[in-house]
Amino acid sequence: MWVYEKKLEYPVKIKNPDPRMAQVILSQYGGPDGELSASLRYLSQRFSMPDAITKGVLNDIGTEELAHLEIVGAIVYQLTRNLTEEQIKESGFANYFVDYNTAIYPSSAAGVPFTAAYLQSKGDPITDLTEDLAAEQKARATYDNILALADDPDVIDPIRFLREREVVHFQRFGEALRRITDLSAEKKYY
Amino acid sequence: MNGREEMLYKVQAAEFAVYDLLLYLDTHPCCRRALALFKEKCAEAEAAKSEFEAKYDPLTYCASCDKTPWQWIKNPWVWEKSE
Repeated sequence: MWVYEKKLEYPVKIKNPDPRMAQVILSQYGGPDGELSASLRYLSQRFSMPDAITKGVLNDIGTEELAHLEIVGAIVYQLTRNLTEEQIKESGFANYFVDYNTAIYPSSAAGVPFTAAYLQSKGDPITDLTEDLAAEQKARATYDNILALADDPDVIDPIRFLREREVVHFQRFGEALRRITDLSAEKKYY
Repeated sequence: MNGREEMLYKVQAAEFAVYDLLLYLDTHPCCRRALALFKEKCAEAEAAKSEFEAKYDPLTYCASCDKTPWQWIKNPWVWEKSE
């Protein structure tokens, strides 16, 4: 089970609303390479892993991704407080607003609702870990794209933290994959 | 940063160190240096949490058992700004 702690893993304190940035960042909530797909991917894949190291890595990184989902939600929430009618109309946020108002709905920046088709759980540890390495790089690249569009230091700071964590996760998954590769040279497992 | 945020930041910093070391230990289970640092950071995080909870709000529900009204649901929640 999980025990909830009433704090964010990294602080988010955004002073100025920016619905355009909110819509872009929402992709890391419910988009193809977002934190929801990351957490579900790792927490689902862990069940069929053959060794303790890989179970541990998937369990603990999957858990951290849930904390990142919460950070991304907090960023989007704070960016959409106290919007004026003009801000909604002029920022391109109206298409989201008409369906969800300023609620947090798991979808991509382009409005595609979250789907489990964003992730795989294949029952083959080398396949799964290779997907996880790619997933971390795709999330890192998405954060790079967000950083290219962002100019508010209040937004840039937590996004840079999240980007950096993708790099660390990639490192840990690489170590787990090397371990699995060594193991598979020794014996067969199903 | 106000006093509450500053103290919460201390908790976040200590718990972040704990979590990063946790992932490291998962793939380096025999590293004694990492384990020693992990132990140190766990103690630091526990102390920072107790300090925050004594002065401000509960971070976990069991720290919410001394007072009515029920303190756990008190604002701010984590996505809200604290002022």
